[in-house]
Amino acid sequence: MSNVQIKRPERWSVPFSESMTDEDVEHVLQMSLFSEGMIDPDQFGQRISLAGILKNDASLLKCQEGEIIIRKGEWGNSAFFLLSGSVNVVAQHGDDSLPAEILGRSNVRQKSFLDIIRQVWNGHRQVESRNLEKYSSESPSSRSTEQGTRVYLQDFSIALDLEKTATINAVDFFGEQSALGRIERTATVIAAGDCELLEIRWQGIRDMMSKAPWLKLQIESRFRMYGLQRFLQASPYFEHLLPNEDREPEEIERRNSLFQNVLDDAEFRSYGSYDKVERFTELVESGTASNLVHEPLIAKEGEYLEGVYLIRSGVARVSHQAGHKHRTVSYLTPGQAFGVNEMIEGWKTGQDADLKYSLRAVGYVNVIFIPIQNFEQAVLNELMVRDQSLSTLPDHLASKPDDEIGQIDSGLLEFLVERRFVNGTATMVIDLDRCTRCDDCVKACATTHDNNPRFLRHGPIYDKYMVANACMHCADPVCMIQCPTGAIHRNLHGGEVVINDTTCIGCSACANNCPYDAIRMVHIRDEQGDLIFPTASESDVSAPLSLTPITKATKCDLCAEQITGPACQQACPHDALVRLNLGTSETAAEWFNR
Amino acid sequence: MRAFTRRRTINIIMTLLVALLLIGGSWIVSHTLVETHFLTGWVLLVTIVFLAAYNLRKAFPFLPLGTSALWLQSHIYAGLLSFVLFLIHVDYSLPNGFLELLLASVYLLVFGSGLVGLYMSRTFPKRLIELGDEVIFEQIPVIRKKIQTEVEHSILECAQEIHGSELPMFYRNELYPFIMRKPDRWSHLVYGHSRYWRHLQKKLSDAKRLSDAKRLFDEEELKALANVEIQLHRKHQLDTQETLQSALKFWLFIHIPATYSLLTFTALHVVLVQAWSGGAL
Ligand code: HEM
Ligand code: SF4
Ligand code: SF4
Ligand code: SF4
Repeated sequence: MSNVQIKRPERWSVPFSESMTDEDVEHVLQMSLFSEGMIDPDQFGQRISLAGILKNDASLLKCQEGEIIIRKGEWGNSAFFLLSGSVNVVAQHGDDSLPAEILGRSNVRQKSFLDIIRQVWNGHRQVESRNLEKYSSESPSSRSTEQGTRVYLQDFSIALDLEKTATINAVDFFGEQSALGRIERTATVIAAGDCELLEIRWQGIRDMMSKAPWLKLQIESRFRMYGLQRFLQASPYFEHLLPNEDREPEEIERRNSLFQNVLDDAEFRSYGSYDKVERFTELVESGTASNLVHEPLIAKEGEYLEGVYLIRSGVARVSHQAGHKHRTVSYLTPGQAFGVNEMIEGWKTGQDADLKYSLRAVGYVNVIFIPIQNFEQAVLNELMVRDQSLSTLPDHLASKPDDEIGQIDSGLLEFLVERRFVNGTATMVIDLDRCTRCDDCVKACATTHDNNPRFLRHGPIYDKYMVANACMHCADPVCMIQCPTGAIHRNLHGGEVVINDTTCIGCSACANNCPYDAIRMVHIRDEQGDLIFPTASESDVSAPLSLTPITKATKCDLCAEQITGPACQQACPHDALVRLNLGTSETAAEWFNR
Repeated sequence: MRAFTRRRTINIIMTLLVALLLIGGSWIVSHTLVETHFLTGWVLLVTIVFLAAYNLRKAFPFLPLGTSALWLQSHIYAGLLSFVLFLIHVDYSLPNGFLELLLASVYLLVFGSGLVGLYMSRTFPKRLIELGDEVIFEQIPVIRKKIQTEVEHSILECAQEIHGSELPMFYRNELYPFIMRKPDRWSHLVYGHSRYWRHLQKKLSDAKRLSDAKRLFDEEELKALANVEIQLHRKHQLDTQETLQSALKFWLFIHIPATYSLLTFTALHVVLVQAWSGGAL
């Protein structure tokens, strides 16, 4: 035997699933997906063998009819190969889709006025007290397997309007788009009968793509067909190219072909490491987060501009070099573009433009790159010459000129980006210069949440600003990855990240995944204040099954049920507390510079 | 801050205008034959009830009653105007009946505590951040205990290593009383530091000077002492924290109960006045 130690990928030190055995791997390798050349084990090297990927990055699932495999709107970091059987895909929007309750979610709506009033006297005295009746009536049917708890639809055929679903049959795969792009799942997938699935985490898919041309081709063409098209259609830069009934057919055709050109030449690129999301707090603690070496370069200041970068997911830092230091001037979030101003300038002068700033990935970032010729032809030429003969693009398209970027003090900006608070759509910021520490905010939160405050008025401070420990309702909610029942989800009405107390099984996956420590696991109690223990069976309620009391995940729900909006902000007498959308530095600057 | 300065300027100008209107108006009315005290009394009562209603707003944060910040703004300026009304109502002089005198004093207590509270609310937060560590009021005793343990640990460790060290004695005589001392509230409030702290610093620098002349502590002990000094500084800042934070809470314990007394006495006053005038209104 050779003495050379093969360095295993770091992620393999913690396998995706403990229950994946060597026999399972053997069994899977026999299946047509791998034995008939679509994904050829021989193409894989020694270091990362296919068997190794299957053993460490995959999990074998055997599903029964009605089992929910993925839910629309949730976040996942894995894709699924359907090895045998078939699944149903429910993708419709709005009323056609499955009711929220079936997917383990609650339909959080604002309380009625009467219920609002009832809060005056209805509050429980005990901490985390619950009315136990709701758990028996609403809980979904679930099944514990080696891979964890799985939830299934009780009355499969009734729940599912079969005309509105599509079916996927073995052998095929799904779920890879949202896993690779780190975006929400766009459809719900339910087992249509007994079926066998191979769930592979993102890193495994990436490695498989690099060794199996068939898979790479499939995934990329699907991305171009669905993901990229949808993204570009939603981007304000290409709005003018979309079909519009007021235009002549030839004109529609012409614009359509411009759009098609962009679609054909656009590139999907990803930067940064996906698996290190949770570790940035360590970087901050060790003081190395501001060391930009950790952040992969997407585009470099001073280099020749090759095209425009549109952020698809994640957060990117825009920085400017002054001496040896990189100064953060702003940050970009999904939908925003980099390089537009430089391009306009170059286009006007007819010379090659150089980039004025650098763009770096903070964590994991996906960008869509549009080459210079395409952007000039489809956007600049169309908007500035044909349509209006403008001297520059409208405000919302051209990024702000230099003096207006960096409206936020650069140290503060650094702090917000470094700790990824910019991920928040409702980050709780307290101006300590005005805060009298009266705790009216905490009291208001308690009053609106059955006497259990859902945040801590404590947290990291920069200058006079404290970012308190409250859920920020992230643009990219990593807490939603791995919730087995779908209990943590985005509220259909307001988009807040909320937890359905009824279907939460207390597994702590969300609390462990939230990098901001915004989720608290609590022991719940009955109305008398006693801890609750799981019972062995429904018939014999008295026999305790386990000695560990039942826990539930809790966090700020942005007062989704209240008619006033966030009670904490409403209750602050001194205008000290705000729920800020840090999605764009411009909107945040308004508050910071008030 | 610009936005707040603008808001304050506008509000003050408006309040002054209304105050002038009230004074002028009442002067004109007083030169007619109408009895002004009933009129100004009722207006003052309504104002006071509105001011007191802020307490109710705070009790029901889930009702759509407007933000607390908006209430506070109205509260402050209506509170200031209430003083103008009060002066008009008492004819710019102290009343002479017993109940009237009591009522006026309670009003002045509420008003005065309001002014003091407002001053503290606007200035103390800035002083609090200057103190560094942000602490939650309820945790102060815990942090204090921790500091004490840490100091004692340093001293003990040093004493174990160096036989016959003077440090424990120094700790017992000079440092321990400071560590155990309750915050010297008044001087923390006014000066931001305690006179005992200055005294202690003098002791410490004396000790260091003596050591330089090789008469007290050796290098090892001085190192331990430096560490202890950092903790003592923390304890001193914690005292300021506690003083400022409790002052920010304490004034409301005057303002609110006094408000309830004011409402009670006012009710009594109204009943008596109505009875006296034989229900003239
Ligand atoms: C004279 C009639 C007044 C009455 C009856 C009155 C009554 C009240 C009441 C009931 C509260 C609610 C406290 C709570 O529930 O937490 C309050 C708060 C307050 N009052 Fe007054 N007040 C009066 C005048 C004033 C004046 C003249 C000022 C200052 C100019 C003032 C400043 C304040 C402030 C700053 C607060 C709230 C502070 C906080 O919550 O941090 N008040 N007052
Ligand atoms: S729980 Fe954490 S990850 Fe999830 S939305 Fe809130 S802050 Fe973001
Ligand atoms: S938004 Fe509501 S739930 Fe969230 S911290 Fe504020 S009061 Fe609490
Ligand atoms: S309500 Fe406002 S002033 Fe009071 S503690 Fe909360 S943030 Fe500070």
